[in-house]
Amino acid sequence: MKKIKINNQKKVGLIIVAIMIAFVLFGFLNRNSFDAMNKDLILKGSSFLHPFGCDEFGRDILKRTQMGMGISVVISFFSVLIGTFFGTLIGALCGYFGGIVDDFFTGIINVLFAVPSLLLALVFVSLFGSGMVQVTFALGIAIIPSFAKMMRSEFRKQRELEYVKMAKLLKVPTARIIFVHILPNVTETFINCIFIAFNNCILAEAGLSFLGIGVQPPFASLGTLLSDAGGYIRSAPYMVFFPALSLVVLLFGIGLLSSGESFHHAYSKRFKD
Amino acid sequence: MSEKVCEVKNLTYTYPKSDKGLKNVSLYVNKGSIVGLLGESGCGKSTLAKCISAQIVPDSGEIICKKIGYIFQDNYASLNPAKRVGWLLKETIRYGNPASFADSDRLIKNILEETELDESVLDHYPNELSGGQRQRIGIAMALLSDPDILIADEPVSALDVTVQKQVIRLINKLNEKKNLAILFISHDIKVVREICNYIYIVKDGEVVEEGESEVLFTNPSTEYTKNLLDSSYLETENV
Repeated sequence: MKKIKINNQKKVGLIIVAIMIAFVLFGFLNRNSFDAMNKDLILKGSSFLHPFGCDEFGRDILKRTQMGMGISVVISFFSVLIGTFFGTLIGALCGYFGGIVDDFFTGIINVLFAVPSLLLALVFVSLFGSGMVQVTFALGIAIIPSFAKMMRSEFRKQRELEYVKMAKLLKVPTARIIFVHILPNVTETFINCIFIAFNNCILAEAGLSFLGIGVQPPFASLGTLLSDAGGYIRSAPYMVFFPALSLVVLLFGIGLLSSGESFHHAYSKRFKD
Repeated sequence: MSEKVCEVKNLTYTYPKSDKGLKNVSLYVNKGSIVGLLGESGCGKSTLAKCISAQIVPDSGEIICKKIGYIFQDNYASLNPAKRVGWLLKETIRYGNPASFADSDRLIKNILEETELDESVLDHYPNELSGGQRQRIGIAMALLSDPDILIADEPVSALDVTVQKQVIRLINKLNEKKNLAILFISHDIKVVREICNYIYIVKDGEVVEEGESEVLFTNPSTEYTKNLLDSSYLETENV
């Protein structure tokens, strides 16, 4: 088996993301107490038993942060899955076929691009209501245009290469040319797009929840925690600090994963001459 | 009389947004012969090859060709960089010669022998191989679809002189062994003279002269061909 060599930035990113995942999983093991209230602990600061302190209902902020991050990650994961699938499909078709197919989808994408992703998600949520499922679909749809645009440009480049012409000469079915011949050659962009989209989804989900149209009580996401803590920023700044820090560290870790040489590239080295 | 495996009649093609292209080109290739298309870069040789292989659609004319195998000039870009050589050869059989797919392992073994490649190349990605090896794989892929005519579009122009000789020797050997028709496209007069039996001289999208290789080289009838040959001799003297 080949040994994967990755750059230091990615190593740090991997370590951070692994720690954050462990942090979330550990929280889910104790999920029975994420919304347990205790009037004796109302707005209590950091302590040994409650290192992140407690909120205005005496709930443990560490447990709520773990739960909130878990929900943010799960929503972002499924959003990216939706965005990746449809974005790649549309981008591949536009880039490979060009012509009228490209004009049609690119027109729609350009219109969607004129509307900020968050606003697009807001429109979706206001149409279909708030909640985890709605937010997941809203964010998934919101990232389709950027994903489609990136994949379109990659497929346009690839379709002109002679290995694609060779496949056409052999009369390889078009779907196979797109997904078996070309797609493995654009995985570097593909993987980086996934990480960037994941980062954007976490941020957008936090934004939607902050505005109160994302995850609904009793569940919490990082955005909800920050929103709830807004009124206590002077009296209990730890309520803002720890969820915000968790969000920043998670985004930083994922950001590092998308920097430099991709995993695919580092693994195969097949594109190095 | 030899059997024609490819015939082009009065082919015309104009590049989009341009008045240049191919003008009324006619040619034929007999079974077992190596026919050269010679001309300066940009004269339309590759465009003609693309028309014959249906990569582009001509404006008018007739193309009657049996099964075509194609060797590209850029041996790096013509091999999928994300796939191993073994996969590339199997894929060629799967779609180029599906009736023999069940026997693909034996076919691959034979073609590797014919193209003088070691079986170890099967596990490599194209970028891990030398230019000569990649071009041989390109030839192997073209042959695996069991073609009647091989179109070789500048197959040696990207190779150094030593590897050029090896590839030319290989093409000659395959031509003799399989009695394969080859349309050999090149701007290199020496290479064309060495390998081709019959030559078409192309200038600005038109065939300006044609003839048996030795006749054409010893007694060119057009001013353009004479200049082309003179430039080649000058080049040799300067070297």
